[in-house]
Formats: sequence, structure tokens, C-alpha cells
Amino acid sequence: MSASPAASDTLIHVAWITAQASLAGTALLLLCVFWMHWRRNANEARRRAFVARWRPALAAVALDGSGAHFDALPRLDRRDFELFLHEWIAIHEALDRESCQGLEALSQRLRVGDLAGRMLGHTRLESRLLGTIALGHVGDSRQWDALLAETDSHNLTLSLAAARALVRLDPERAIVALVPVIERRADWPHTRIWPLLEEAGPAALTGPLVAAIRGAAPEQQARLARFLPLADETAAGELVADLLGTTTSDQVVASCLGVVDSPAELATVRGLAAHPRWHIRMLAAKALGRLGERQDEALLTSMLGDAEWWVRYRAAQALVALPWMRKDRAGALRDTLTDRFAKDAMEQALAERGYR
Amino acid sequence: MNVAAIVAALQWIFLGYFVVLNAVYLALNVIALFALRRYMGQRVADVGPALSPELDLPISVIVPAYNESLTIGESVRALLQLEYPHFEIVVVNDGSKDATLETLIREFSLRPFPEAYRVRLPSKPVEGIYRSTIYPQLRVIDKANGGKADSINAGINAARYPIFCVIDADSVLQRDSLRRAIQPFLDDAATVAAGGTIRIANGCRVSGGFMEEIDLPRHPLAVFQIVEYLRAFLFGRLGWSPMNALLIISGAFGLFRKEVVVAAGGFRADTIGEDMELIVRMHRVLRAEGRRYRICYVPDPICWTEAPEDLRTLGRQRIRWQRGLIESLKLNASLCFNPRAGAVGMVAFPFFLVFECLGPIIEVIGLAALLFAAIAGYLSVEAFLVLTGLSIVLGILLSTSAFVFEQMSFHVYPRLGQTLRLFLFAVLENFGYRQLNSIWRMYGVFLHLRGKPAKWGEMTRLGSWRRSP
Repeated sequence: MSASPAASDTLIHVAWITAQASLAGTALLLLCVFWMHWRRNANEARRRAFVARWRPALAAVALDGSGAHFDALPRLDRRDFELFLHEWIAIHEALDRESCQGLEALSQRLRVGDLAGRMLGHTRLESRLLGTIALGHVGDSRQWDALLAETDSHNLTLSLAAARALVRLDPERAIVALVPVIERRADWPHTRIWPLLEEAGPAALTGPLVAAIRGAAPEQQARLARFLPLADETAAGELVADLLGTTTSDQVVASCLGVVDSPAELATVRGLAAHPRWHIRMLAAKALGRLGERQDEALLTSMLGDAEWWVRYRAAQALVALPWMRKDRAGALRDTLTDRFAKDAMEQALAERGYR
Repeated sequence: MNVAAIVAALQWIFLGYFVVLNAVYLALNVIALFALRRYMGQRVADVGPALSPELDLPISVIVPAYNESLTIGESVRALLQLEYPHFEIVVVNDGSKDATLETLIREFSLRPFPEAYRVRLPSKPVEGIYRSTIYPQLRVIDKANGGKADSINAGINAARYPIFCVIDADSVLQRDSLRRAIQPFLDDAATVAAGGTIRIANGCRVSGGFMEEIDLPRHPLAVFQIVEYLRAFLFGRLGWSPMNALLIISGAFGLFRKEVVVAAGGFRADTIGEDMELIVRMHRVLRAEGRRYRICYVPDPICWTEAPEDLRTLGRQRIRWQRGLIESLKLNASLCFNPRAGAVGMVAFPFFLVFECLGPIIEVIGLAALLFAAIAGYLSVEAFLVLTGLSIVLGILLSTSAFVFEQMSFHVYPRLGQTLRLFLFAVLENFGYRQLNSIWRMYGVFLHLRGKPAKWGEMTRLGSWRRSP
């Protein structure tokens, strides 16, 4: 293809130009591949060397706690700061807070808070995340407002990392600020909020959470009530009792059934075993398995005849898990069943428990 | 209209086809680039406290197995070692003619289990349900032969957990594959399906059901397929996923929300591309309901699978894929240009219809027409070379962009020599392999039009990459 095509032929000309451009693009991309390969190897070698120097040094500072090791620390090059933060975060995640006292003094000396704070404004997501996570471990609240603003980020991971940093900095203050954010941000998944609230602890969580649930609309109540197992047991129990007694929302009832833990609510739970929605009946069966008394055995047995498979299955599991239910008693109960579906469910639950 | 005018018109048509095709690929590249950067950047946040056990979404891993007696024991043992806190394994023996069931009974000490088996999806009759006395999380469903889709449906009926994962019995997962693939479900309750990256295991060494050493295969056919898979996954699926317009999750490794799949009717046993058909149908059903949902691709849970190394098996596979594609689109044709269907209906479906479904015909006819025109003198040699050269260079450009993504992300082939070899094959595939593929796929279209029933056929598996621990 050394000869240029006739310029008069527009199509061929366009194709020729496109082919040349594509060829140039390919060459460029290939160079990119080489460069990235080289850079990755160089970065990896650099990371290994850094880790070999700094990991033992940071561990020594953390274990000693007196600052005596500071002078023996290797020099921290500015371009190694992100590598340092990776190590810094890893050691904080591995140790409990008390064991990290020595590291706080080091963070002041190395101005980790200032440098990590500057990373919040970075355009590169990885750097922003690194700075955000690190700030939670520095113990420096000067970036509080910036972190709080980051909880509104469109990026889910970044917003949750900021929320966790706040919780690590000051759990009480963080929960007061975060509960409204949790209500607002429907995209924050339950599974990611839970560890945050768990880390904050019941003392910080209970007041703001209970107040928010009491004041929220049913949809929000249902969402927030799922976190009640993390709150103080007494306050959570009182709230669940109130909600079960007053709410008309199936969602709220379902959330409460998932967390109800007090025999005082047994009468309500028994009533819900006949709820028109099978999902509620299934949760009622599970709750009866946790809280039920001897008299509930009959109710659970009747639930084995439910039209919905899941209700039958959960009722059977609840029955065989009752504290007084022994293998022979459970077997005898199965033998009394005449409904084939009830018997199937019971057979399965018995087999799962090793009662066959 | 004389022949010269026809040739000129055809040239414009083919050039237009290539321009649009490559413009879409370019757009997918750009979207994939941003998606990958974002995904890799967010991996920094993989620190912090582990999820509380009660928050883990338990997963039912469904493994359809047909005549897998040689490898099923090792495969199941590897699955039992996956790093995930709460999962069960449901192996579905699809009426195997060999000793698959006996092997499972012997190796895992299976005993009949009185399962309250609930028929929510139709399948061939279940003849027995077994549970391991050593691993209580392992159950085996023994059923009459009905094919892969039928087996998965039986597995779904027996699955206890809200999310199920389908994997091929001969695939190899990474230890953290489930943990990575479940992430979209944890992050967004609207996620209904997620698929991971499939890579080719030929040339690698597997021990104890896990990947021990990654390398390129010697056989050129397998290397060509590696280049194809890199393109298909690293910018194909990664490009469609952010638009929520992914039309396929590979049957070799995918996670699904059970209730949504059951509501959609499960896997269709009467199609040959049951994995793609289900995804397209889920789009259609969920869009019709006006429900918010997500079907996504997770770049790094890698599943390794064996690629065919002989032309006969490869040809059959490609014909089957093409027929599966046509069936999937035909059965869900109401999605096409449906404004309610968003990017799936307005972009992905028409793209797959024109460029993936009919593309092979256009490519084969285009190449034949160019050859004819050049030989008959209607086209100058220079023009012929420029047009065919353009097609080749664009193909190489796209493959090279996939290599860039590979360097940006997982760097599965760490040696520069491996990348260079892949580049060499990205060039060589344009001289025969691509054309052969187009012919197979065109034949697939032809067979579909003739209405000949599709069959899976036997896959010749070499398994040279497996070795005993």
C-alpha cells in the first residue's frame, strides 16, 4: 500500500486517510501499552522498596508509642506520599485505636492531616478516596466540613468513605450529622451503612436514630428501623413496641419483625402470623422461632399448612429450633402431620438440623 | 444501473457500515475507559471493616453438569473453597450417561435428602435430591436430561438463597470471584444480574481447581480467541454496562436475583443461547413494568474456561452463538427502537441486530464484492488494498485498545513478551481467522432462516491445563 490512491476518488481518499489515522492510533496505543507496562513494573518495584522500608518502621512506632523511633524513620519523599497513606491506612485498619497512639504523633510530625486534606480537592478519584480514608485515621477534625460536604458526592464510594471518616473522627457528632444524610440518600445501601453505624457504637447511635425514626415518614421509618439492632436494646425495644402498636405500614411492620426481640411483643407477633401478606407471615414465623413460648408450637404447626412455601419452610425451621424441641419430639410432630406440603417442609427442616 | 455503478454504491455502503460500526466501538471504548478508571480508582476503598455476617447476601451456586465425571469432583472441591462467608452449592446432574452422579456420591458422601422441592420453574422430572454428609452446603439434584437451561431451572427451584450464581462445571473461578461479583447487589438493591470477565484457560496451569500459573496457549486458535475475549469483555461489556444496556451475561459465570428470574420465567430450554435470551428478556419484562433495575458487568471476577482448539468445535460454537443471538433478539423484538426501553431499545438492540446479527453477512458479501470488483477491473488494485487495509487496521486498533485496558486494569499477562504475542495475533487474525468467523456466523444465520433445530453438539475438551494437586 505504498502508492497513494487517486485523489479524485473521494471514497478511496477518505478510506486512505482513515486507515492512516487508524494506523497512527494503533502505533500510539502500542506505545501506550509499552509505557504502561514499564511504568507498572517501575511502580511495583518502588512500592516494594517503600513497603520494605516503611512497614517495619510504622509498626515500630505504633508498638512503641513514645516517639523514640521518629528519628530512625526513613525520609518520606513527597512523591511517595500516596504509598505512605496506603501503609498508614493499612496499619490503622489492622490495629485498634488505642494501639495507634504513637502514629498520631507521627502524623502531626509528618503533617499527614494537611497533605491528606489537600487530596480532597484532587481530580483523580483514587487520590480523593485515599485522602478521605486517611483523614478518618489522622484524628484531625479540621477537615470536618469538607468531609461532611463529601457525603453528598455523586460517587457512592467517596460519599461513604467520607461518612466513615467522620464516624472515626467523632462518632457522636458524626451520627447527628449523618442520620439526615442516610434519610436523604436512598442510594446508600443498607449493607454499607450498617458497618458505619456499628463502628459508631450504640451510645452515639441510639438517640439520633430513635428520634429520626419517630419523626420520619413510614418509608423512611422502615429503612431506618432496620438499623435498630445496632442501637441500645432498651430504647430499640420500646420503639419497636410503639411502632408495632401504631403503624399501618407493612414495610415498617416487616422491619420491626426483623428486629423484635422482646417477649412483651409476642401477642402482636402472634397476630401478625395471620397477616394477609406472606412476607409478613414469614417474618412472624421467624420471630416466633426466636421469642415463642410452648403455646406457640401449635401456631407454628398451623403455619406449616400455609399456602406459601417460604412461610411453611420458616415455620418448620422455627419449630425445630425451639429450645425444648428435641429430635424425638420433632419427629413425632412430623408424624402427626397429614398435609403433604407441611410434612415436606418439616422433613427438610429436620434433615437440615441433622434430626433424621 | 451498470456494474461499475453497483460497485461504487456497494463501496459506499460498506464504508458507511464500517464507519458506523467503528464509531460505536469508539464510543464504547471511551465509555469503558471512564468506567474502568472509576472502577480501579474505587478499589482503594476496599479497606474498612468486613461486612457483618448478617449483611452478606447468601448465594446459591448452581452447577449444571452433564457427563462431567472426570472433572466434577475437583470442580466442586474448588467451589467449596471459594472465599465467601455464606453460600451453598447445588450441582444439577442433567441425566449424565457417565458416572457423574456416582462420582459425586462417592467423593462427597451424598445421602438422599427429603427436600421440600418447590416447582416454580418447569424442568424435566427430578429423580433424586442428595446432600453431602461432609459438606452440608452441598446438594445434588439428579434429573432427567433436558439441557443446560432446564438444569439451571431445576437448580433455581432448589436454591435457598435470594441470589444465585450459574457456573459451568468445567470453569475455574478465582477464590474471591463471588465476593467481587456480589458487590453490585450490595451496592444497589435494584441490581438484578451481574456478570464477570471470562478468560481462556488454555496455556495456563490449574491445580486443585484454582489457577496456579497464567500463560498464553501455544495453539494459535486459542490465542486468537484470547484477543477476541479481551475485546469483548474489556471494552464491549464494560462499555454497555454503564448505560444499563448489557445484553449478555455469559452462562459460564453470572449472578442473578432469583425472584426476578423466576418472575421472568427462568431460562428457556427451547433456545440455544439461553444466557443471552434471559438477559434480553429481563430487560424487556422489567422495562415493560417500568421498574428501576440494573444489569451490570464487573470487570474483575475472573472465570477461566477452556476454548476449543480445533476448527470443527470452534465453528460449531460460533454457529451456535450466532443462532443464540438471533433467537434472543427475535424472541424479544418488541425491545427494538422502543422508546420506553432506553439505551437497550434505542442503541444496544439495534446495534446487535445490525452489526452482530447481520454483520457477518454484510462483511462476507462486502469482501466478496470487493474481490470480484478488483478481479473484474471495476476497482483499482490501490482502491482494493486501501479498503481491505482500512478494515484490517481498524480491527487492530480496537484490539490494541483492549490491550491498553488490560494494562490499565488487571495485567493478567504480566510479561511484555505475552503482550507482544497477543499484538501479533491481533494482526494475524485479520488474515483468515476473522473471515472464517464471519463465514461461520453467516452460516448460523442461514441455518436459523432454514429453521433447522439447533443442537449443542459435543465439545472436545482437552483439559491439558488441569493437573492434580
